[in-house]
Amino acid sequence: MATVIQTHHLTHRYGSFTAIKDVNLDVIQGEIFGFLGPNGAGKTTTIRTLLDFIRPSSGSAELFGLDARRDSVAIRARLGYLPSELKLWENWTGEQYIRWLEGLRQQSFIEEARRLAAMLDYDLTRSLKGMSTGMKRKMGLIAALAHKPELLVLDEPTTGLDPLMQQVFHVLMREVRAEGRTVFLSSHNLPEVEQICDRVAIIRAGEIEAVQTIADLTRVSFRWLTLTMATPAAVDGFSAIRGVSDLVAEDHDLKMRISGDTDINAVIKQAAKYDIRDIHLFQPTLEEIFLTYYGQKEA
Amino acid sequence: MWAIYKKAMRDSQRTMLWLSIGLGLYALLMVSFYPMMQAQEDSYKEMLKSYPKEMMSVFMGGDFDPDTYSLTDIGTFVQTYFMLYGIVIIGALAVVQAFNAITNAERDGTLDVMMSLPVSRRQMFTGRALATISMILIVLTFSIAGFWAGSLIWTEFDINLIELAVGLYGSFFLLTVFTGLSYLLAAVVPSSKHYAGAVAYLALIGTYLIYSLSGLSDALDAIKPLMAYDYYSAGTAINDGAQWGDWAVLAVVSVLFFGLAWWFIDRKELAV
Repeated sequence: MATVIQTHHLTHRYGSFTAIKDVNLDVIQGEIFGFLGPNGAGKTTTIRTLLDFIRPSSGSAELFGLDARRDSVAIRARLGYLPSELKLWENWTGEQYIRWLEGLRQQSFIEEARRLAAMLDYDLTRSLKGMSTGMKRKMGLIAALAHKPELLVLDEPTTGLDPLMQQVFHVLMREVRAEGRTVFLSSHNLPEVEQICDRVAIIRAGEIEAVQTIADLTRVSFRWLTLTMATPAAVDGFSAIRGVSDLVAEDHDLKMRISGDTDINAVIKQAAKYDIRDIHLFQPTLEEIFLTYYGQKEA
Repeated sequence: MWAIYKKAMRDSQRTMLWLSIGLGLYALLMVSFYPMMQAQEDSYKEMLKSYPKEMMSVFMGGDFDPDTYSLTDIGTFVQTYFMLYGIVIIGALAVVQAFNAITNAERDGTLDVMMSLPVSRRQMFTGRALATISMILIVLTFSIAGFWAGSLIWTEFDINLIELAVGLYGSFFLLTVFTGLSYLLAAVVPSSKHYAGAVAYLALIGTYLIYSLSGLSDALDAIKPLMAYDYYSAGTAINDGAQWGDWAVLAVVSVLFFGLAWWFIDRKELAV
């Protein structure tokens, strides 16, 4: 498979502040590549450098084997982009916007736009004025996807989308992958990345901390499980289960950490011995993932 | 580039239409006063002589001389009652268009959307700059139409279409100086800095005030050649024909500003 995105020691400085440093990435054709990091980690700066909105202070980037700076117009003809904060021209309807994009891209894709709009439950005849963030997001996704680009660059794509539409988005991404197209998806939403990505790069403080397959990420990943019991909580029986750790009993709540290789059946069987009133499952924060990852790496 | 041009024209059509109609009607209204002013010229002259010279200099232009000033001279009439203000009004439109095209589009994120499409920055710049230039020409055309329609109704306002066109289209060269400067500032100054617009308006309005007052001060008079307003007068163009020498100076400065903006836009960091 061809390499669609390749960066070599990509670095960008805003004055004395280094936003990204020595970013080396290889994104392969046909994969959904997650770009994971907390807010301010350098995700958007990396994307803006790839799209030639800003220029690298040092290093370089290639998309489709073309130089991101020199060949930016040719590159942008082959990609679809959804920015993290989308602003649309409000004096148009969605259909007028798509028609304008067709003229600019010299390609007809209104039918595909209509299909996507139907999937996303979006009315293309509606004016873009006064739309909610979620509706703008839908329009942005339609505009980014409709011309069937070889590469999709999506910056926090599901922000503002309701859970149902997030599921539709996941379907669309799998569709793109099945057609051999590539997705570069930036997010700080770990579950989303886990659900749809093949590989993920983790960026922190402007530097790539790790590039992993989702299987590897899941292995170091974990969940926080809280059981609310009818009687005061007890740790008995749970601590012996493989993968369960950090047990804390507090009043009627029993909180535990469930790692990727936990024997879930054993947890359920043990919980069944108690009168359980409520169950909460929490995702770890990215910081917790980083700490786990480094804990394993150091070990 | 043409898709960008058409979009820029479409985005501004309402502003352009209302300004064109407004200035066209204003021109027509001014012509309607002309027969009355012609009939009462002596009284007007006496009245103007009684006003402070400083005030008349600002409102009638830097070269105002109450002894030689003739209200019934059509060139002077158009210059005094229309173009002195018209330049500032149309110039303000051009400044707004330039900053909307780049700085404000960058701030509100629409430039990101535009630049993610297969369009080079220079194509984007050229499309939008051409749209601004077209808007200037359209607004001027409506103004000419207003004067011409007035001349058909009030025949005392005796001027032909060619004289009008030369007189008013001549301001195009002056207006492109301010447009080019605005585009240059928008291309060079980061969108996070808010002084670029102020500098452009200062160039448009500040130099107008300095130029207007130049007749009152030798110091100001000495720097008049440095001001763009010194190279265009609708009155002179209507009475004496096209001032190609002066307009060439303005054209060279405009080309320089646009050229620099075209060069800088490709090196601009588009802020988040």
